[in-house]
Amino acid sequence: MTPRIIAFADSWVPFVVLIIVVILNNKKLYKELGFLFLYLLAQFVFNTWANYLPYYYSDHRYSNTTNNYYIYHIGLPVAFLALVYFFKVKQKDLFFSKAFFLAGLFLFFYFIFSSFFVQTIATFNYISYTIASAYILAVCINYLQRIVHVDIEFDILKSPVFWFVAGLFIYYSTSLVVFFSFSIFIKKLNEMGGTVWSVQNIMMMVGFALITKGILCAHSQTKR
Amino acid sequence: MRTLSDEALTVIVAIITFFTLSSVIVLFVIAFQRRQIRFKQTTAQLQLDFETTLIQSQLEMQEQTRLHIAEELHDNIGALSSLIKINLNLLSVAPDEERRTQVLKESKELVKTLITDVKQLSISLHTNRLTSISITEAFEFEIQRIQKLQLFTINFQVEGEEVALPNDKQIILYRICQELLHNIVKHAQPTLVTVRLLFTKNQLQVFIDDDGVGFDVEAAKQKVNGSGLINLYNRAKLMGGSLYLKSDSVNGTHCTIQIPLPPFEE
Repeated sequence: MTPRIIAFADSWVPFVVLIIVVILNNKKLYKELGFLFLYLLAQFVFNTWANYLPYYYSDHRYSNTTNNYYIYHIGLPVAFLALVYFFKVKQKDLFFSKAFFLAGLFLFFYFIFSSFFVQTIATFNYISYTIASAYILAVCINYLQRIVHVDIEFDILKSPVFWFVAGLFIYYSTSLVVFFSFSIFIKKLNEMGGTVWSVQNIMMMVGFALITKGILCAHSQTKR
Repeated sequence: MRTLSDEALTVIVAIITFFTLSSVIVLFVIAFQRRQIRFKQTTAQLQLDFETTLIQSQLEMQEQTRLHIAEELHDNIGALSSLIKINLNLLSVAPDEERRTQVLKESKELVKTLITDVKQLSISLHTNRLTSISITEAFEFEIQRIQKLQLFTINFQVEGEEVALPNDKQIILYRICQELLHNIVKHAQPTLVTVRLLFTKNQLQVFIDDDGVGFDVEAAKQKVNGSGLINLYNRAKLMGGSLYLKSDSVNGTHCTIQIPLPPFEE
């Protein structure tokens, strides 16, 4: 049996990060990182909703009688759109900024379309999640390769964006594996889901810890 | 206790693998960027050190040039002018026409010498003139000037096929050797000085040897006013080369300057 603290990490981890943001009480941060906070809020709200629902109806989290998949169909486009806008603001390269933004918008509409016509609301939209993870990884890799190839004067360890990208990169590289594996082991989704989600939640803790570090960096810089 | 299915285990292994991989990529980016910053800082520091040394050497060269002008004006031009003045005074007290003609003739010769010396001094100080001739010609010119003092004998030898030096290097090398020769004139009391230029495939070597009284090189470096000697080393370094100095009271002073030649210096 997976410890509850890990099983519900996808709810409390973004919540803790948001609490830290509230404690910091830095208005400039809301302006600077508004879309990131929106993403964290979406993660918290929809993951909590999805986690709570099965318990409300059944003793078993992944009961066949309870279907919480529609929540993921709503949660994914919302969280994804917040990240697309966040990257648009933070991307320094004009070409990639436009390219990723347009691709992100296209994918956003595709996810909505997919919820009705490809992977309907009654099934888990792992294809959309896989595509979203691949998109976020592409943006992160683009940022990381720029650090290596472009002459950057500042210390990246003091750069909030670097920590956000590092956190999202680590989290979504493992998410990609999880969602992609669902397409292979689709018939055993319910059976393996609990364990895999728990491992994935541990990775989320690591990723979001790095995002928190980025928020603290941004806080110290805006306070100066 | 529930056991994991093979599928779940495969996925967990894949997750851990991807987690490790992504973490390694992030760590690599951090390490790479930090190394880049360190490299830039080191390069900037080296550049700053180089520029500081260059400025110091330029100031030192300017100071020496001023001293050189002062010495030339006092010892040579001044002395000749005084002699001409004495001759002109003699004109008024000369007893007959024949003596006046002789004094006038001597005065004309002195004025001619004075004009030649001023010209030579001008050439030796003029940077553009130095770069318009080869390093061998510049050396010949300087040695001729010193030989006129008739203090000692100078042997000048050139070996190998002469290669043109970049202007800045030619000026720096010439000034180093000029200073070394002037030091010999002032302090060494030699009977014989040998100046040898050796052009090899990769480098130019300049040997300046004298059989004079010598000096304590290390003590000279330590002296407060021994910065001139330190600057000679620094100037040689500026050209990407080196300077070796060996001196004692029995064998005199031996100096070797090595500088890389243009095609191989990059």
